[in-house]
Amino acid sequence: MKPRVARWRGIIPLLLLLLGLAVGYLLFADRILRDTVEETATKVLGTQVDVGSLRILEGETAIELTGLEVADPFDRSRNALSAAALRVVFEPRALLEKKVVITELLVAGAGVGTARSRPAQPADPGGFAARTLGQVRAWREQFDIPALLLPRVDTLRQLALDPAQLATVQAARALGARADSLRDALEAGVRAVPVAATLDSARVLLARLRGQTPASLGLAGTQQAVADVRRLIGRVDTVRAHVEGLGRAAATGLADLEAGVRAVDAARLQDIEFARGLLRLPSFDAPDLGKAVFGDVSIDRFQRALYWFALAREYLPPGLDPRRRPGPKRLRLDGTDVGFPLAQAFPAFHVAVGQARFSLTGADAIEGNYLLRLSDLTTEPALVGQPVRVSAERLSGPPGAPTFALGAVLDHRGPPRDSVAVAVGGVRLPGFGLPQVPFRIEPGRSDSRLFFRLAGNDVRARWSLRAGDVRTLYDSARGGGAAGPVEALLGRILATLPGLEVEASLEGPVARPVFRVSSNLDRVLSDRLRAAMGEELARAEAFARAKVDSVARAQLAGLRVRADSLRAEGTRRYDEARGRLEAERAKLNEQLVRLGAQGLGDVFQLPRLPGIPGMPGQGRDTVAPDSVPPDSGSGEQGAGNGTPGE
Amino acid sequence: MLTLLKLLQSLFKTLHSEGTPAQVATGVALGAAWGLTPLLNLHNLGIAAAVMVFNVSVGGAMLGWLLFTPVGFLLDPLFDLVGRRLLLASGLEDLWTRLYNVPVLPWTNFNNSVVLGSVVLWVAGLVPIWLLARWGVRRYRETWGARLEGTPLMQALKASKAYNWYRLLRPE
Repeated sequence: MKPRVARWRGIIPLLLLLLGLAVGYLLFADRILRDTVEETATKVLGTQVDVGSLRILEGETAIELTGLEVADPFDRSRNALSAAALRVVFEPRALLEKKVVITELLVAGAGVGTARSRPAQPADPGGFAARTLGQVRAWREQFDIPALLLPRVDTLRQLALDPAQLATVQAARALGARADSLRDALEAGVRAVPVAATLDSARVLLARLRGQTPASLGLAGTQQAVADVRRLIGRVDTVRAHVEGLGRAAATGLADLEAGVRAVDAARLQDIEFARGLLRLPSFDAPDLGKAVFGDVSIDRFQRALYWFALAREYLPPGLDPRRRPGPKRLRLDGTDVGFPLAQAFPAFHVAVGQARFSLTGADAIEGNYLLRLSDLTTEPALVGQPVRVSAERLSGPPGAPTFALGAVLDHRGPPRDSVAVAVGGVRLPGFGLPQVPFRIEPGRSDSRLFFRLAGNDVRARWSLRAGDVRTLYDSARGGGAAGPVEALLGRILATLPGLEVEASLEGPVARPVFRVSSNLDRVLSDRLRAAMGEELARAEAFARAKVDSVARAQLAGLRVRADSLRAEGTRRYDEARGRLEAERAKLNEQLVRLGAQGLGDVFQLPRLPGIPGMPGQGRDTVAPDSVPPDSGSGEQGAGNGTPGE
Repeated sequence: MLTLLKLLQSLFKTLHSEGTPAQVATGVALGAAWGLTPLLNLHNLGIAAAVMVFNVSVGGAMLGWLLFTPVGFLLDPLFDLVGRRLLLASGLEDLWTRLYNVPVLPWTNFNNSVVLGSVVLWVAGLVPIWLLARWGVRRYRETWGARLEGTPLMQALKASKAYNWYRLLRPE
């Protein structure tokens, strides 16, 4: 018998299975969804997100959360955001498509910067957010925040310079090698020019013709003699041209060498700066001091804004291309989730309108009741067609309470353009420690503004702080006991400072922006430190200079001697060879006259050779006459008989 | 422990006498989906319903699940590769976009590379798995099955009360 296709009794266990799933849902769905929300939000934001409890309200397609805490990625002991309760209402049709469209978001009991009971876990280092955090921290490293401390006097004695580290020594070694190469090249050139052989031939010919006349030689003999003399004059001219070419090459090489010596001297100044850096001598220029005092605290503000914007750009990309995301965590391989947004369809995530009313209280907080509005936060801005807008304002508070306003626009419909502006007025801002010095500034009631705009890859940001009743605290724990002279001076200046005005800016390509900080403190500090510590600084600088000079001067002197020696030797050989050739040529010329050959021309215009001293009618373009030392006369080939090439 | 016992019972029963080799092979081929593809997905609920409602061997499905679970873990990188190729193929983008925006379908997680890759390869392997399983069951019954039938272990398994529950799902 052929078996039947269906087995209707199987419906019973199937129903039992579905019933089991339903019971499982009722028992565990809230917990599973809470864990999923925590895991996803932690992954997306790159910082620990905790949810106290979560309740699914199936009838209202909504969820209610309590005890939401989002840890501050830059300070894991604090929360960037917390909320006592949240109510999230979803669009049911979008949920059927597994998309999260939030039609209503209500937050109650929100807090900013609240302390965590336990520090947050570090983010998954392989995640995008963690990588972004790492990149933003690396980005911060490019801003060179100068030190403020002046070393004590005994530190100056400890400066040990490794000569190999000095640019002077390295440049001198390179130049020495170049001088050797030049010398070798000139030697080879001199050897290649047959000066001695030509002079010998001339002497032999002149000796042969000495006392001879056309009458004694006869017609044929005279013609032969004239031809011989002319040929030899031609050879002399050729050799002389070679010698002059060598002279020009030598002049060029020597000029380069002299330029090299000057470059080595310039490297000495660089080494002095290097040694000064080893001493960690501070700059007393106001911009440097501004960076030294407020650089860290300013960059901190910019760094946070950049981090959140970087996340926004990752999760709110423009366009409708398929989006790839890591799949959900499971025992099996996670794989990749690919989203396929479609025009006129629900975006994968969209908060149409969100509103949060919350009160802030506490010492670090801006007390009052606040309203935060959020609209069109979506992972597919191209579908929604509106930029994300966030605004917050203070609704009410005690009399004389601070003012607060925040506005942000993230426009990713085309090339991303993000900006945020925050203004806080009359708020008691938290204090901050000054870097590298044991002082803590309590700005008291202050006005603070932050504007950060990232359009494409171009950043333009400004942070300002104005405080009327600044207090300065000496942190003996950081100072390690008694304050040093600079610390004491700084303390006195801070104590008498009437108020504090700081302004920091960041402009240019986001990879390498220009960072500036200025404040009234650094201007006062610059003047006072210059007056008080100028002598100390000058002494330290002289010490660094002397240390470098002790190494560099020996190198420079050696180089100058070698260059001068080369110049003198080259000049001597050139003059000698050229003089002999001239003399022999004159004698040959006379011989021609005696033999009755006219019109050969006995006047030779000598070419002008640059850079070789001692030549008639020449300027000296590189070397001063007094730089030529006495002839060393050592180790020079062909120098024995004073004739080049012999 | 009881679950394990029930599983063993069903497996032995399946291999020995319950259902034709084709029914057992169909069960194995369907159960292979639970082993090859990530378990907590909507399509596996559909396969569970099919195994229960259609006249196939549940024991065979259990056997398929058991056998193919390690294979699934081993082949995950291959599933991921195939799934990603398919999801990112420009010629299929319109199809995926349509399916992604149809209600309920995205809950199958078809847009996950491992899920799609494993489902596609499971479907491609259905017939070979079925043929291989049918041949294997026949060979088993002809050789080992007859010898094991009279052993005390088999008698004990058959006598167990848990077996009665399984009878609800045995092939007819």
